[in-house]
Amino acid sequence: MRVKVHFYGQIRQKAGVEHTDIDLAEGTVLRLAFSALAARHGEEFGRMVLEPSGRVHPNLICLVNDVPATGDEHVLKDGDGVALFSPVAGG
Amino acid sequence: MKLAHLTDEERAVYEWQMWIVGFGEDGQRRLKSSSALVSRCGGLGGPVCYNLAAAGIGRLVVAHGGVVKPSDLNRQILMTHDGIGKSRIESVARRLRELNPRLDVVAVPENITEANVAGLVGQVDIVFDCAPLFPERFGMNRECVRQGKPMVEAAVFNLEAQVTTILPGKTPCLACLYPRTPEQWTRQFPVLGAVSALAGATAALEGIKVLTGLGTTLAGTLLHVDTATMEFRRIPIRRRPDCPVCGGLPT
Repeated sequence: MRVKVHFYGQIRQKAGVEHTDIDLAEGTVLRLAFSALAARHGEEFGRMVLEPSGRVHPNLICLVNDVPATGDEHVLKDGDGVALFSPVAGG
Repeated sequence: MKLAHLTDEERAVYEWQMWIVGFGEDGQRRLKSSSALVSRCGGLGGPVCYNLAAAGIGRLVVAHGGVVKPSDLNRQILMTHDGIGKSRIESVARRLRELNPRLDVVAVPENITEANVAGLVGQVDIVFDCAPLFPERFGMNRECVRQGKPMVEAAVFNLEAQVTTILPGKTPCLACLYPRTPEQWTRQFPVLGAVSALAGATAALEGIKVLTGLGTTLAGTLLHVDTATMEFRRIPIRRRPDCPVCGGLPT
């Protein structure tokens, strides 16, 4: 299955792209999808999406099809659109 | 709260906004009777201050350290080219008094610290968090929760703006939104002044709504705007029961 991921905030800089498509096995959960993204986009990106324990980073706001994800084990479906928002400040 | 009366001059200045249904003279008097702290008055805080001052808030406590740099001038609308090398907060206070000579401006020539945060938050009815560094933001958040003061949280990055309104005990606080200090965040980041102005004006409007009861606020909602595409998203956010800052407050 294929999922589209959009990046917002500083994580877009770490990803180096505004959005990407990723092919995943049917029934992949969010946590494992982020692992696959981390393998593609590098260590700094990885530290923004996953904690050392492998859990989804709690600072990350994650929407699936514009609705907040239900947690690390949220099951993705073919055609889902994921939006990731990393922390931002002011100035 | 005993509301301040309006002078004839104030009625003339604020005539157009007092025509707004739900605001009126009562809203104007509420605003005149209110005070706000704006933490940092740069790209975000500058438009916050300017819009609050123009709208007729009674008292502004503005905190910002340092001197004006050339790189401030793409977004910090209260700074001017001839102020380069001079105190930022003096420029802020001067520009605000030029706009609204009736405004009571308290200029604090330093940024928010653990040492001054309680005293500054304690002086006002509402706080605007416009600081570029997370430790400063988390410090303000803790103090606002402790004192039960509303805090409008504004942020920008690239072409993105986001705003939410934190009401301690009722909405998520900043530590609910970001439980960990973002370790990769840096003091300098890409931003366009018009994006800061959008976020700042939105934050000021949120504050006016909280102070006067006008409309519906962003309490419990994170507004995210991607100005590259002009997509506006309202993201529902939730309190964390285990939040070390606000988790102990009753719902």
